[in-house]
Amino acid sequence: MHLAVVGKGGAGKSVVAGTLARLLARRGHRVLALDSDMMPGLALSLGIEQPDEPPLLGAVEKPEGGRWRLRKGIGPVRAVQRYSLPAPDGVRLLTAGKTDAEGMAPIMGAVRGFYSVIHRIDEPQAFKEWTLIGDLPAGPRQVAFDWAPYAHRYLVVVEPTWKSVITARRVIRLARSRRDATVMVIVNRVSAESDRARVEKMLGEPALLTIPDDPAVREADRLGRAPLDHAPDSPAVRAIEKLADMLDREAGSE
Amino acid sequence: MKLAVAGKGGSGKTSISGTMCRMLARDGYKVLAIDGDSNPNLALTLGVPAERMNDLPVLTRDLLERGDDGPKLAKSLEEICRTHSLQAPDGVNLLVMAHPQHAGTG
Repeated sequence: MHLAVVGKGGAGKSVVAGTLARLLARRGHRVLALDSDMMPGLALSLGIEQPDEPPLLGAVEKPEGGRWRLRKGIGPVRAVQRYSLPAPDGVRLLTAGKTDAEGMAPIMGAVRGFYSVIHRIDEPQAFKEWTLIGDLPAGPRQVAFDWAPYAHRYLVVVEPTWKSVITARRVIRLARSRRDATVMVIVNRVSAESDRARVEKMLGEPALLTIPDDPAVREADRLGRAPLDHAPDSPAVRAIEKLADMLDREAGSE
Repeated sequence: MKLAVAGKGGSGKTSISGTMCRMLARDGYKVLAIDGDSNPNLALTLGVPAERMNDLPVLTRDLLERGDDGPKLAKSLEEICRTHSLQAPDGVNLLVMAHPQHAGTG
């Protein structure tokens, strides 16, 4: 099962991706979480610290006058083995790297390495059995530029606001233009009974699931902790648990 | 006065810049709002109805031509604002950068 989580900024993509990754791992999946956002997010939602430097910097080289590339002998399998980070529940996290005060330059190699890994991740037999969960940065840009070539399913996280819905529309249109990719709409931060129907009407798409607006998740965010550790019994985590069960059943019946 | 608003997704960049644009316009400033986001939502916050979001005027490729030192604008900024901007409430002028329509473009 290869998923990508997309949506507007602040819609809750990382919370959904990180929590879902751990819940699927608890259900026996081998999970690789893929973080291509150059801003912090997924590591915190998984419950680990973001490394100062992207580990993938060790996997790349820059030949004289050439472009960054994976070092000889390093393919997707080895890159994940050596350069992914362990997260709770057995999840592995591969991260492109985060910009800092110096901007992109110090992590450019890691970003290029990450891009090659995800583009070759379907080559080896190995990852066919894995559950891949990509957390993409806000908006349609990375979907357009093919930053989730592995994804057979896009989880579109949308809030009951017009800005969020319009963003979701753009993302869905792009995702649908990809071969054999399907789209699942998840309505997040639902505070009224009518929110789901409203979003479905605004979006023109059925929603698979709603996640309630949950102060416990906001608090976890403020503290920089994983919602699953901070508030495992909160309504939002319970809703993501339902999603994990749904996806797990589906994977089992494949 | 030329300002740029930046920050994490969902932190309120669009709400702050859009509201500020209209308040400054009400105070008598001539305001040009520029939505440089590849996911442009500023129009909505400025008060443009959601139904119009599908056919926002965007900056098209033909506005650039090849000059001696790289690309340059084919028209003056005033002209571009006349032909390619959107009139938002309180007299705010909005320019929207193109947004990716299909996979593999942008």
